[in-house]
Amino acid sequence: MTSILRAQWLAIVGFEMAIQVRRRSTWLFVVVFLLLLLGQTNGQVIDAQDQGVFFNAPLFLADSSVMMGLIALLVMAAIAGDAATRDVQTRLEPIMLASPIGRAVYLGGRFVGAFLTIALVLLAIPAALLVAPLLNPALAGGAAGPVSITAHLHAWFILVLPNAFIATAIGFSLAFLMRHPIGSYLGAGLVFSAVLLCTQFIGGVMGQWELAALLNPAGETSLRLMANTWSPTDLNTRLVGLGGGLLWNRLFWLGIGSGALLFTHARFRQGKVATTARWGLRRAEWGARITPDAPLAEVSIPTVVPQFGATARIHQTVAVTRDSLREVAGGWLWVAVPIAAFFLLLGPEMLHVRGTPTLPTTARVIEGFGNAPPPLIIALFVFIILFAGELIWRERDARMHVLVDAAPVPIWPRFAGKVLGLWIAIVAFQVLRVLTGIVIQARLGWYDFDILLYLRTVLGLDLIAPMMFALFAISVHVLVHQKHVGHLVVLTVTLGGGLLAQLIGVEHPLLVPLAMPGWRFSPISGLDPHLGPFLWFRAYWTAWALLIAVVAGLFWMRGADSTLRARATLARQRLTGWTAMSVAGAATLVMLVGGIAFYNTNMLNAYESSAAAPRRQAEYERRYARFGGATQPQLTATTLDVEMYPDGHGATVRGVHHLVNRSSHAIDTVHVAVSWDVTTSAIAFGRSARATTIDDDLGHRVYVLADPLQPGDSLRMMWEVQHAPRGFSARPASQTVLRNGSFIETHNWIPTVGYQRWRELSSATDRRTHALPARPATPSLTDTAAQRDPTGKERIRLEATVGTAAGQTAVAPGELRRTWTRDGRNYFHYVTDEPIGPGYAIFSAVYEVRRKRTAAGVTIEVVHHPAHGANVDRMMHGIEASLDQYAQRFGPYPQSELRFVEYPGDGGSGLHAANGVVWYQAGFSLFDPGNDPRNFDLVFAVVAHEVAHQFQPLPARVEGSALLSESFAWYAAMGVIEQVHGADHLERFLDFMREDFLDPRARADVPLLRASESFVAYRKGPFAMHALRQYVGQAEVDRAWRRLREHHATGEPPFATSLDLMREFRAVTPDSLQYLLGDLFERNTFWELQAHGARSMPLHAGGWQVTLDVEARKVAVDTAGVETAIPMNDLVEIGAYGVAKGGAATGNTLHRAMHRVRTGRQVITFIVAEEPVRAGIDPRRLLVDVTPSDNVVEVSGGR
Amino acid sequence: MQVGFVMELTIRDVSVTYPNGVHALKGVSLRIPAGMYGLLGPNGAGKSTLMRILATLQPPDSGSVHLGGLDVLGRPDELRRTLGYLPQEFGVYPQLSAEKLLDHFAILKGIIARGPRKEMVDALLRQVNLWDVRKQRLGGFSGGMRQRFGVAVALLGNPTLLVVDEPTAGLDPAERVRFLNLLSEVGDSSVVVLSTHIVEDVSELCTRMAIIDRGEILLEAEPLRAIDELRGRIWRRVIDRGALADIERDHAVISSKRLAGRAVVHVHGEASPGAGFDPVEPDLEDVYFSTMTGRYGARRGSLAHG
Repeated sequence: MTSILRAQWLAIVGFEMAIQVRRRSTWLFVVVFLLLLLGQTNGQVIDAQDQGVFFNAPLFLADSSVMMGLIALLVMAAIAGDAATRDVQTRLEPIMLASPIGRAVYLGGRFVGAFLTIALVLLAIPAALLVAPLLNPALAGGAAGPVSITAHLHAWFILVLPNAFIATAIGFSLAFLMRHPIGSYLGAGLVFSAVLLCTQFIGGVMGQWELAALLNPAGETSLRLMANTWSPTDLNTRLVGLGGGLLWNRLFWLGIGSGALLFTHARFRQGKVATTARWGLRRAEWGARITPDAPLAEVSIPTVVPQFGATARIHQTVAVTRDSLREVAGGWLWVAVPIAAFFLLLGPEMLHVRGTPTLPTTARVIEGFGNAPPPLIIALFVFIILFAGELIWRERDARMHVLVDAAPVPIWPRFAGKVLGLWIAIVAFQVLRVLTGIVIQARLGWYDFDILLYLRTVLGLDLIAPMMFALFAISVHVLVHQKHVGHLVVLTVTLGGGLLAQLIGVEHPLLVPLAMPGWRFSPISGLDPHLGPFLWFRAYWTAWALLIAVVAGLFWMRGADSTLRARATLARQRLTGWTAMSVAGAATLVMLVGGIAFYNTNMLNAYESSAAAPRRQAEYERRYARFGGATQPQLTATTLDVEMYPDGHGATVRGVHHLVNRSSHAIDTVHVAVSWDVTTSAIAFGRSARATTIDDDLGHRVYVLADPLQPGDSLRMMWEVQHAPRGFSARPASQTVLRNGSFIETHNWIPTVGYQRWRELSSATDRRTHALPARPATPSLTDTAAQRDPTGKERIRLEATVGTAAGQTAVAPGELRRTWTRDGRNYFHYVTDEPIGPGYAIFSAVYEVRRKRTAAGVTIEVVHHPAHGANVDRMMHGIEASLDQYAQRFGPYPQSELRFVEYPGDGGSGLHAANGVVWYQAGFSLFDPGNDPRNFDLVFAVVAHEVAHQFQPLPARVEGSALLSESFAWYAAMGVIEQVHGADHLERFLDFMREDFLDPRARADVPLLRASESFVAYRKGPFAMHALRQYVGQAEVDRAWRRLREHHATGEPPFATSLDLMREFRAVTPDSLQYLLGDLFERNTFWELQAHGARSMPLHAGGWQVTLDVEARKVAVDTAGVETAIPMNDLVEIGAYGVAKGGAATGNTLHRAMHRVRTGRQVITFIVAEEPVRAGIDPRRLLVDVTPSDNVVEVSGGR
Repeated sequence: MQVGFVMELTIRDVSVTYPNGVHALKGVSLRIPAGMYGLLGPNGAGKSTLMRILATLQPPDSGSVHLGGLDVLGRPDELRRTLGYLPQEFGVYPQLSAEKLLDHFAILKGIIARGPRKEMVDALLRQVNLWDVRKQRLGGFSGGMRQRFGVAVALLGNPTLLVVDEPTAGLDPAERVRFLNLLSEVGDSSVVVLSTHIVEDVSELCTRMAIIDRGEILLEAEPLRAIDELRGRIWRRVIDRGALADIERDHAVISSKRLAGRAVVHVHGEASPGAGFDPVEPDLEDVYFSTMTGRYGARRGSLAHG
């Protein structure tokens, strides 16, 4: 580079930086940033503390930096777009191009200037990360590790700076080629969407983690992989480096960024960059093509009578709307086409739940897409923000405002026209959503389109928020009158305001729009109970938007730019007549609607922030934990009288508890835990008692009996609770009593005896925050007090009379003895034959019931929403088959009926098993296993799982209890699946279960005996039992379970633990396999098995000799990730398979037998009858192996 | 209806001071009757500020403006109904055709009914000679064509007040002639205020004129009468360029021009300034320069005695 070139280049770079650095918006971003970072580190600290990791661990620093970098895309877009298009906007370009500056120098200088400015701004990220801990009180607990400058350098040079380069290069190039700064915002949008799609979709849904790691422009997927697979020790010490595919990712994207710049330069040098700009830019005048000039025509101009009445205003509004649509149309397509393509391509996939198709009902489609990828929602809002600015600046950017401002049009038709233009674009988006939804339904063969539901939700409720946001954004642009600052203000107020409010604990929906409760739709309950509060809060914020809009109208600038004072004066002048009345009207509306809402949220209902609940939990523990050890009478029976009023959303429950002193001393004091959710009125006892403490805020009462309750004596306790919701509250509405689909979980409502330990705060951070002594989230396996804790484990007899509205069926546990009608209400009387646990529920809805009596005399029922009958046959089949088989394997079913009851469940598809009753969320009814490409019946399997819970031993509330419940339930279900659907179906089911193993995960973990996390409980545990079943046989394993259940049949403490299970397992396992029990349950063991190769040789005597070359190793990994090699001399299955025939996935099993395998490389030989094609070690993946794919190899032919 | 009903524009004591301290207008008062009115002055004289005030786009600090009985500053909305404004600088949407954008403006100007609107838009496009290119994108227009489009916008709705700010700047000679002819036609029935720094614009068209400099009105006159008044007072001499300084010291030179390597000076004087000076028939340019140099108009007293 010659010195002149260098000087020119430096001058351009310097000039660019000087301009950008002087822009106010650049530094406003830095401020916004610091605020966001403070908020973000706060969340980070809590997450990290719960994992026992320093919040400033290198990987977390990197992750925070990347996240902040994504938010900074906005600064990058603003700066890059400005640098790329300023000369076009200011018409300086011809002068610049005519000067003797090379195109490369010009373009390069601009880009480098912009990039360096961005880098300067992004220095705020490490600065904030270094400063935030000093300002953050949550860090007092020593959650910060030593400050590592190397870690900061890694984050900066491997992630932040390259990401900034990539985003700036793409944005700069797009803006330059499109001749409009909006190009850089589109670039930022693309980068942002790509980041989210990679991790959420390509990784999370498709499971293609390596691809996602490569394609993620911010390298964020790689970080996620590291976070998931690193042990806590790794996290605290390891630097990010270039692992996890980060090296290729960086090279790939830096290549794309540079490529974009080179392409732009090439187009520019070849003169192919249009001088005409799209997106509403003026054409440069020096390129005029048209010069026909005839002599002046002699034309008489007709005389017209202009109109200025209301009709004219409407016409003018329409004209401005039409003009606005021209502005937004291009941008709309940019956003709409990818969205439509995304939905059309991936829509069917998105309707899957756990990979199983669901019936594409309209509610499902709306729900599935409502929760769909945030990039699409974000795209809509970014579109609104950008085009609010473009519309307000449309005339000014074209320098046409002087002509329009002198036209006889008042402000409001122009204002309204622009708002309408944006609104139409928003409506068009929603129409597009409906159309894609309908197309997807049709493609899946579902023609029952619920158009009305589409209209009510997508084109109704879902329109309010974006439309009001558009009105707000446009108003802000009118008020601010500086485009970039306007965008920033809109963003800051929406996002930053919300985050900041959250940070300082302001979350009332009347103060923070983001805190407004949303709507949910259920086929059973419809929009009840969300609709009312939803509309009230929307109306309130709509009133605000209107008020801001009319005030903005006062400040609308017409003609020359003027000072703030001049605008204020003008606004005051305009505040007359109609204008003043609209301001007053809007303000009144705000006050009125706000007043009504406030009356509901804070006067009819007590307002509680989200911090109130943990505070109450902490206070409850502090105040009453000392009664935890007090001897209390035990609940043995309850009689309930329930009156539900679905239309009024209310209910009254009167009840009598039958208490017995099972202890050996007299009891003079009864502690009663009363509900936090509903009102408990007076409690009376069957003998004279005096209340000494009534603390209904914390939910604890103390009664002293005049005559102590002697051992063996019983006591009646009469009580009443009322649920009478008044108006609506600031929190999402209570989902208990609904017009249709009521669901009362009684343990939240009815009084219970004794201190309730489950109410305590369990997360370590929460406990520290509320100054409670540290304790494990789940009591230790060896905590003998916890093993004996009887709370929530009572066995009670229940008699319930439930009244509900005419037309509805009420459901309670037990046998339905009698139904009758009184005063136009339906009554149902239920009685349990055998005692049940205290966690039961009461339902009421318009139900259809499928009923059958099994051969063993159990009445089985599926109580379901009339329209949800599709899976009832499968469910009945699953229930019956499971009951039959489990009774043989684990002992008799104790109840005389088993009932599955459907409830709305807020769009979920989960199930919950209680004694004799399983309740399931309505989403479960929509599974369509018949169309599952994996060809297995998820509904049947899940039903078998839930029925299995009826046969599980009653576990103590300590570590490892999930092994006795969830792991057992899946283990048991495997037997039913195999018996009913066959071994192949079971294999397909196991493949489904293995899908979750694909998610990257750290090997560091507790052994199964202490399992409480859901992956371990629902996946790893069942597979360990499946392996045990293969090694020692199902009958033996079942025998262990049966004996465990029998030993804990009384329901008296001590309750069953995983240690008890281990004892039973040991008893049924031969000595030769005892080591396996240790590896599967007592240690977190991983086998590393690999087949290196296999050869086969035909034998003269017939058959083939197979020589298998394998390598094996076994390690135990502790919770910190420390690996200990365990010498191996294990029995491992060795298999060989023949040629696959007739479309089967694998061929015949030629060999499957246990062989002794030791640590290291070794050769195993065996003889098979036919020619083998594939052979391997542990081919059925019974043992825990992170890479089971290398277990089996092709057999090379007979030499 | 206002068409054909001619009124007068009265400007009284209008002052504007910009935040940076520049006095753009200092107590300007003018009476502007129907017909073409020229506002002549050098760049930066305050012409555009005055024009923006007339176009309701900028309120003055003080003073009043009335069109007939209409208080322009108090009721700008009403003025806009009869206003046509052609700003000195403006842009258009480059991607729209002339016809579409003119139609849009017609609606904004209150011409709502479809038939009359089409008629008016068509007539104006023919009038400003853009008929053949009405379907073309405005982005491809030359400066002159764009200017003519601006005129069409200004003429929409038969304005009774037409404010035209430096319309001929950037036009080629032929375009300029056509343009001025067009304006003069409109001037028959309304008040047309034309600001310019080109003397010919005024001399060819305007029945009345004012000269403005540094925010002050120096002369308010009818061009022909002003020329009459200068008759016999303007003298011309062709000199060597080197001699200009001497002549300027000795005589009231109002202008000098190069001519074939020498200089032609015009001198103001009640009697012949001396040898070599020939009397010339004055033109509006002499009026303008006499006024600007303080030999004529408002500055005359201050200079003559100063």
